[in-house]
Amino acid sequence: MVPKESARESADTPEPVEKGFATLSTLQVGVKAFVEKEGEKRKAEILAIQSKKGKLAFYVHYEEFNKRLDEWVPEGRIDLSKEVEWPAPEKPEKKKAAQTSKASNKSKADAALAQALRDKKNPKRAQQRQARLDRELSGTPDSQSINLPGKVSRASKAGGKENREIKQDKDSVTVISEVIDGTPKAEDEDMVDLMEMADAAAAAKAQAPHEPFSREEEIEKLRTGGSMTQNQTEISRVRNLSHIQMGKHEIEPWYFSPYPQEFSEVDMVYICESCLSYFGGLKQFTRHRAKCSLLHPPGNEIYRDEYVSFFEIDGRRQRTWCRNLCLLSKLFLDHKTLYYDVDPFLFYCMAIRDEHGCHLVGYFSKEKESVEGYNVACILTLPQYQRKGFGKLLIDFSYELSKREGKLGSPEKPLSDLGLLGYRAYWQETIVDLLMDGRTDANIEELGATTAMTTNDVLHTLQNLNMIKTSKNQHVIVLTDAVVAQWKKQKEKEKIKGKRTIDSDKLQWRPPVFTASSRTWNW
Amino acid sequence: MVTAQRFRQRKLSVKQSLPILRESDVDQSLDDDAARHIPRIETGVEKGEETEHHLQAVISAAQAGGTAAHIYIPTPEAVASSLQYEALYPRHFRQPATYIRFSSTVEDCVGSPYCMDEEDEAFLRELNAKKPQEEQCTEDQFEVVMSAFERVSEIRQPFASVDPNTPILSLDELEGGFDDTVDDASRPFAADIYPHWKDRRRDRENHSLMSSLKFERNADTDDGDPYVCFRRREVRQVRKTRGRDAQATERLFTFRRQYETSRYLCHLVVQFQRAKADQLAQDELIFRQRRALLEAKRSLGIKEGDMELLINQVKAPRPEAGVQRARVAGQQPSLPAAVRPMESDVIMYEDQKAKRADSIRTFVNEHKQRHQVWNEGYVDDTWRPITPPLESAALDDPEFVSLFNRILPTPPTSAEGSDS
Repeated sequence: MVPKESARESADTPEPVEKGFATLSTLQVGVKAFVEKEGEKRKAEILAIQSKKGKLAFYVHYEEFNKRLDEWVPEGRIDLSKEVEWPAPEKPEKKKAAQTSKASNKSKADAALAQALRDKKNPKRAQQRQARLDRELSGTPDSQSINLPGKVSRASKAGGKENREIKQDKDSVTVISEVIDGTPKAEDEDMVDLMEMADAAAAAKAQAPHEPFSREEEIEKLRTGGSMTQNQTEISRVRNLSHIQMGKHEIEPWYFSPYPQEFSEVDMVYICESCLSYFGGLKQFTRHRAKCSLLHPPGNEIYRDEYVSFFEIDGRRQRTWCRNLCLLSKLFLDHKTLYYDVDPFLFYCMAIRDEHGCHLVGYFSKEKESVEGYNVACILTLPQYQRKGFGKLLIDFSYELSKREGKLGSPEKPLSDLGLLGYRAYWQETIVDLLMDGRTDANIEELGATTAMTTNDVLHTLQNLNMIKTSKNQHVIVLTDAVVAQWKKQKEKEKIKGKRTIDSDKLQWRPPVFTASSRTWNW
Repeated sequence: MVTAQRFRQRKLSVKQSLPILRESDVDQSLDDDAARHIPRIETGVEKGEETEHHLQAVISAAQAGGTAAHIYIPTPEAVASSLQYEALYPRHFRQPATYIRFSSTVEDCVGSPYCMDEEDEAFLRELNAKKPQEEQCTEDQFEVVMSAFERVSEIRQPFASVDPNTPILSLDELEGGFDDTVDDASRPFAADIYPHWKDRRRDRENHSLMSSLKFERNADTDDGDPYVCFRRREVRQVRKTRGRDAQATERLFTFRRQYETSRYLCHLVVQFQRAKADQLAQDELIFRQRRALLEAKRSLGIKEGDMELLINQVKAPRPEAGVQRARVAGQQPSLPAAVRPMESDVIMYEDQKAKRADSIRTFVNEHKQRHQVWNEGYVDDTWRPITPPLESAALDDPEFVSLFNRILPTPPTSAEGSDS
């Protein structure tokens, strides 16, 4: 037991990072320096360097902040009075000797159990680290050109990630999560011993191929479905558009999207609100608007209430429109991949109406047949409509479709930060609503069945809200004071503002049926 | 004992009903570490991003209690645009009463695909300056011609963007490929616009003038290029079997049948409409002749009977009879049995017998007479060959010839077993 424990500790210890002072001319891609952001100095990694009129500009990613906050900064904002971290040179995987194990400051009773858990986790985690390292290796852009893919540079991010993991470990061991099972429908056994399943999963992973997300495997996974990538090489790191104009708004893109390459040189890309076509110049755009006769998403309206309409659009029949939609949404979804075409997806587009037409507010895509039981592939509320409650409507609608299909559904992973918060809020509201209706007991599977949520998601929600506890030697669901208070607050807000939900009577929809041939992406 | 208990506690059943309690009902002093020992389910967020500052801030605020409303993840802002929205997006939308059904594609809805930019605008202005007022080229016409140029060269030289040595097409070649999307009004401008198009095309190394996405070109660089998107998914090869052949045949058969049915329906609709047209023509004729008659009457000074000439005489239906019959039928069962006269109910055997004999007699007489009628003017023609009636006469509708027959198409020969 003891040697294993110490081996684990060593694996998480950061490698010594090469530090030193730098000058503007020695700064290179991969260097981590302190950059001023909103009055504070933040550690940031340089992803690209550009020279504009003799002045250098650096594209930086702030550590511990989402990539959507990455930006170009002038040379003046880089603090050269502090030491910078040089990218670590490529080196073989080290197996270092045991270091002084940090005493865990947890209770003895815990320790024994946690120990057993950790031992099993250990091989898998080491592998994940390895894999992540490899991924980052190939994902780092070359130092000379901006974002030239394919060229391999040094493992620049390794140090930062390591640091993060250590910090996480110190906080609590329980934060480390385990894959329980990939498929949401897996809970067939009567009793699910989560602990045992987790261990089994860990063991299975330990014997699995060395790299959990090799590029080839990832692409194969994408080929047969799925729209989200976990492979860093699939994610271009430097944003390519500076502004887009759409409808009544000008929006700053968050991420890279493979719009025509020459658009990276224009200040503003104009996007037609109806057909989502893209134009690099204002004249072109106005000419297009003079001719474009589309007034709503080009599909069948399947839902209408006083507030919004939903349109169902088949990627195979509306290839151009759906491609345009994907390009647009890629600007705001980091892990979305456009590697393959849109054929195997249906797009459910939410729009608000006025005399000008139907304005796209948000959408979610859905695989025509999801092997893993996902009911949403990508989901997005356009930035100009965010924080207005549209996301919840979209999620609600996706579950309404699942109910009509008689299936349980869950969104495709990975979720984005905003996605996680959106879903958590929806799940919490839905489940607490049910639990507050006066019932005295509930079972998790039934909760899932009435809400079309997977058992896993129900469990996740309850657990996240600290609602599963033990009392008198059995598990109970506890409506904590915090949850009840939030529920009451929500209800009061609804009384004043009214509640926007999806009325299932207004949904005119039957699950579309696809023949095998139309589903298997033939041309 | 203690450890055994803990192990039992860890098992959480998703099928069992769990009691719902308020926080105050739970004994807080009891250590609930068993609950904590349920491994956390993955958040679903990528590991590297899970620790992001803003996300963690919101999550911890949410766990601290319901005051998370004002904490959110900051995102780049969307601001109001200075463009004239009203001019760009006119108020054309009328919401139909029923849910919208729509299947036109973007290409169907955007007119000519080429959109002119500032450079084209300058060229067009210069071109029009040289022309008299009535021969000016409009922006629409300009775009129609440019679209046609682009389309033809795309068809003729699909690989122009790959091979930089491809020559730019000549005007003659381009005009040869024009189809009916180029209207007669635009055609004359092709010669004027061609030099401009050629220059621009040369500037872009014979690439398409409209910015386009980068699709796969089967080059080695494709795979790592983040700009290459929307790749095809390779078709899965299906195994050819007798069962599949039969299935395909059956499906073709069904298609054919459905097609024939709908074709017949269309035919009937056409017939119906023709008949309606005929009827209208007849009505018109009648009306005109009546007018002529009226004129004639006027010239002869006859005044009465005008009304009949103007109105179609429709025989009024006689509803009374129906109503009466219905009333009688309705009344009869409601009559109480006791009120009916007794005599009418009694059926005498003699009467019945006489009636029966009577009917037999009339039946026999009738048949006798009919037989005589049949044999009247009888000529024996049996030596003549019996010819079938003419085919066209037998068809009730000579206009519609069914193409459908139940002969199965020859199934395609199975592939030679190269893989066997």
